[in-house]
Amino acid sequence: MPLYIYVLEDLLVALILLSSFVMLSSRWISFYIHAYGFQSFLIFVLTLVLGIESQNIDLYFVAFLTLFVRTIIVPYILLKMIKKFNIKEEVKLIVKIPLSIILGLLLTVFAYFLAYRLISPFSPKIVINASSIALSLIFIGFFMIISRFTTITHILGLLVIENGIFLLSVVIVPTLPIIVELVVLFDILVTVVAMLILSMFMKAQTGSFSTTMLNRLVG
Amino acid sequence: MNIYLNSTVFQIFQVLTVLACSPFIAGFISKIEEIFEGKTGPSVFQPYYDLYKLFHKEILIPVDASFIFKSAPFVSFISMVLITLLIPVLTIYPLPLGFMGDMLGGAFLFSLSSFFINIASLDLGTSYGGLGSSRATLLAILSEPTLILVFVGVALIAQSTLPYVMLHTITSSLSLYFSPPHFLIIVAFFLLFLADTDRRPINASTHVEMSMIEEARILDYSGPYLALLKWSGYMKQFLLLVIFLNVLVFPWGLSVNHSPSGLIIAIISLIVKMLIVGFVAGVIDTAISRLRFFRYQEYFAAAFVLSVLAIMTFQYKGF
Repeated sequence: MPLYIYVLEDLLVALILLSSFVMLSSRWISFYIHAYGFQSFLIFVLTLVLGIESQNIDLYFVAFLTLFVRTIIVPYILLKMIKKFNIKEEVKLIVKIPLSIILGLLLTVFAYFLAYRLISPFSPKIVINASSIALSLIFIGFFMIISRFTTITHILGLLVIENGIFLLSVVIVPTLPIIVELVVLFDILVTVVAMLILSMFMKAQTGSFSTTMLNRLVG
Repeated sequence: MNIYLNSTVFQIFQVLTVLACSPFIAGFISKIEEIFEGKTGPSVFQPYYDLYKLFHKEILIPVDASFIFKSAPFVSFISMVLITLLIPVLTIYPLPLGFMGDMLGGAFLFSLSSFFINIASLDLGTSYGGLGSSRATLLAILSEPTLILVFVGVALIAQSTLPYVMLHTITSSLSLYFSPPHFLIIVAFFLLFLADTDRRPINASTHVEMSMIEEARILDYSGPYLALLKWSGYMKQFLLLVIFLNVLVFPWGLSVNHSPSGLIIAIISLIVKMLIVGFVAGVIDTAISRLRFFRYQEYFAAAFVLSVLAIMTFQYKGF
């Protein structure tokens, strides 16, 4: 494999990780969504590069589906929803931004450690780097769900986890059957739509997207 | 023997370039900022006129001032000149005095200069001095971990802390040049550069605001002392740009042999590179609004994350 493909993949995964840190450090929801779209676009480019490298038609297909669903449709739905409900509020945080960046960093280091221990005996170094970044995306997505209160950021945290899983599958098993990828993408669409409907109901009932009030719901 | 003499000439020209060109770069950046704000702006040679005017004024020293107040400008100026000797300004090969200290030595000299200005501004007991020095110390505390981690990253890549070795390592391997650790280190260092030279996300570098940091520390100085401090400020910016450009970003265009034409090409290419980066810095300075003082940690946390990620990605990639 030519060297520049290695270098390109390395740069792309580093940028993907950086975009998740951009999400962690942003205060405004629309910025958050744009960062997610950018991250998905980077994953599209990475999948395309892997497809070109391995001459795999399935990967091209998956890449363009990724572009279509993750980069265009999902951010579009979310942004439209924000415009419709005229949300200008900041992201509600439990943990302050510098601390959450540092915690994200710790999660990344842990993911590197984990990936190194798990797969280093039987895979090249480039796969270790990319898969540990994928793992760290999963952890950072969990952390986003835990540390933010708004339902939209919950959805985005879930989407970041999905991105991480997709990246892991593309990097480790590029020859995954296409039906699996289709199911995952469909899953994302259904999740986003279902959670948006739920949060619209919540907005109608409680008057805000914040989940802090939900502990008052007693049956 | 001939070679050694020639190296000495290069060493002298290195210092002269920094002394002579640093006000020009500062004037250029402020000109760019003024143009982007829709004004004409002062001439790019305005810092030279300022220095000339200040050197011809009388020295006013407050009655309460101790020797620290009088020595701080000289310490600051001389440490900048010493840093010039350590880093590759004009040549790609190490000059004789380049082995006096490594990058940590350079960082030590930067903080020595900053430390002396701090205690000199505290010396008189004026309120602005205390304000400025406490803010500057907070900034130094926040930026120090990132600086050290950038050095660690560079030392891991180059297997040495000498800036000349880093330059050679990058120019000899293109895959290393285009690797993520290198880019992450560049971005982290650029964030530090913006913070250290009083640029916009951190501080507005005018002396009319209450939010001033750098200007508040030297408010009590006047005349030639103020000129020396201002000049060392310009030199600090120039030297950080030199490290940024010649060690990290674009280590080409430097002189490879001892010929005079190499010297001229090196000076011209350095100035051109600086004008490009100065343009970018000016655009950033006008485009971004200033952060609140208690949100500085977010900025430095971002720089810290970048430097740690550089080290992590290098450890598991290792070209």
